[in-house]
Amino acid sequence: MTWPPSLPFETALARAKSLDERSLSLLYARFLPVIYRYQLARLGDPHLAEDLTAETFIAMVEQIARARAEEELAFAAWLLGIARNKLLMYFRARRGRPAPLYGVPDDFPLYTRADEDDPLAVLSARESWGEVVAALDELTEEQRSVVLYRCVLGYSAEEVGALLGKQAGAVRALQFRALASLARRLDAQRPDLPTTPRHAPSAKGQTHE
Amino acid sequence: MEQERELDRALSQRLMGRVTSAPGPLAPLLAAANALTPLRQAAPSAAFARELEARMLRRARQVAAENPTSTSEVEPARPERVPPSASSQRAITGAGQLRRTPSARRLLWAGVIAATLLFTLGGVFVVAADAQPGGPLYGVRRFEQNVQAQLTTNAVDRTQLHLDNAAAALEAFNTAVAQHEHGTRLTDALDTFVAEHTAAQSALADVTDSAAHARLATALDGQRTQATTDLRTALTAQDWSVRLRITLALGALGVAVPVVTQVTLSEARDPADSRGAGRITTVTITGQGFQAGAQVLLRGAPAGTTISVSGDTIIAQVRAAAQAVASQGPIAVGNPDGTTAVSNKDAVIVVSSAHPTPSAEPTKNGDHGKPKGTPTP
Repeated sequence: MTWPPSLPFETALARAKSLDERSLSLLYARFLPVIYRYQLARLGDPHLAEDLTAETFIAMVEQIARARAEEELAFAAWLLGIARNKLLMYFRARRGRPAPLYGVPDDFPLYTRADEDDPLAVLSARESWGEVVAALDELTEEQRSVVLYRCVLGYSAEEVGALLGKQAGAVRALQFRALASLARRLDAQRPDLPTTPRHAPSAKGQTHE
Repeated sequence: MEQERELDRALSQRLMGRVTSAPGPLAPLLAAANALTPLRQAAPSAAFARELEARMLRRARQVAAENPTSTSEVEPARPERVPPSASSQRAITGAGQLRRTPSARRLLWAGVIAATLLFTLGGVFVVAADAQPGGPLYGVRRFEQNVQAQLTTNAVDRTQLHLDNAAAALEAFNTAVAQHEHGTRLTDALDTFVAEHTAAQSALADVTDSAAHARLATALDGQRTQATTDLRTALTAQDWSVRLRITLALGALGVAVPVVTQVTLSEARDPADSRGAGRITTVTITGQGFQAGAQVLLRGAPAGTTISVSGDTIIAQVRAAAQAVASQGPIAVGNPDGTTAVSNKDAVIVVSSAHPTPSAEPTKNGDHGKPKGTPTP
């Protein structure tokens, strides 16, 4: 659904808070890629990313009437907050279990759309995301948020600052350190990167926020 | 500081699609940012996007129906704390009148809150009596049903009560299936049916009157037959995770269903890959109840090429590394009739390393001979 050029975001958001379906669809169309990419960057698995994206938007309609956001960036921060909570809940549920998940049926997510997809395509996608996602996992929480919001979601340093409650200068400093760290970690797998001192593989497990 | 600004400028250029040359020290950082490009372009499938939008709007309609007046309300502002004025501090000191000291006011508020809670709780129980599976108050209704059953001391009445609850749940399940509902409405109904039908079976054992026992046993058998037919019909139309729940429900009814006891993933070089880097994994699933034509499923979708199927073993080959197959998620078996069984998380064993060994040469069969590495649960 295309956003009508004459429709201010604030108006659509106010209508969506009254559960107006057209406005909800407009918000959904605008933020679906944002939320999906956020989840995919943290999970590395397209299926899981879709599951948590779905949970995020269902929570959005359940809570939007109580949202205080009135403009786009505040709404994005609110929605990304929901997405992050869903992610944390997922990681919390997984804590203490050996990966991967085989636990069924108590906690197995509904709404799998696996029948529509080619599992082999999923396998190769998983392998290609794997190294980038693992490198992102090694960053600190702040660094990871800055890299995701700036480089994956495409927000400016000023907007990332507003989303995270930081000054743009602090965001740029975090971004610099985060990308330097990311460059070192991807160095081993990425021939397109100039050579930097190679790090020994980390024994650290996945650090999920 | 200047480098940070320069990096930010270069990143902005790249995000706008303009590739500029970066000074030496920044080049690795920009290359790292470039590694994220696939993520920046990732998008969910169109089918998923459509399905989710429909689900979201359905949920919006439910929320609107549940809160018809509150949908446009913003969160109420916190009441301002007003400094006590002389008049409000004035105590009522006459005989029989309450002196409104701060503690008296707190007591008054506590009373008001307690009365409101009691009233609300009572209202919730009244409203929950009609709650349907998948609804927000359905948990309260189930609580009420359980309490009612526990308070029913007569075994005949208790069995009949469980039978009635199970019949209502089965009807709700069939309605959800007819309306293509795959969510909690369907699973709540299914879980309730299984719980109530099983409880009816247990309660029947306490019935001593032979005539009543015979009547209830006939009703229970009839319900089991009806449910078996309904659940088998639903198997053909549901997605995998729902089929899995239905299969478990059929098993609880005593129907023979597939069961997976162990999955073994054995990796070898892919003989079809001339570079030698490709991997092929043989998936061997043991258990029972596998039908002719059964398939190995990864995340619910048929995967690989089936090599053989017997009642207790199915073997298939998947063109991927064993660890990649293992990390894909639940490994399952799907029977042609729609029943499905999944591996327990401890039942998957990877019997060879996912990493190529440079010195290892493939045998005639294309594998590495003796499995390497330790079994990984």
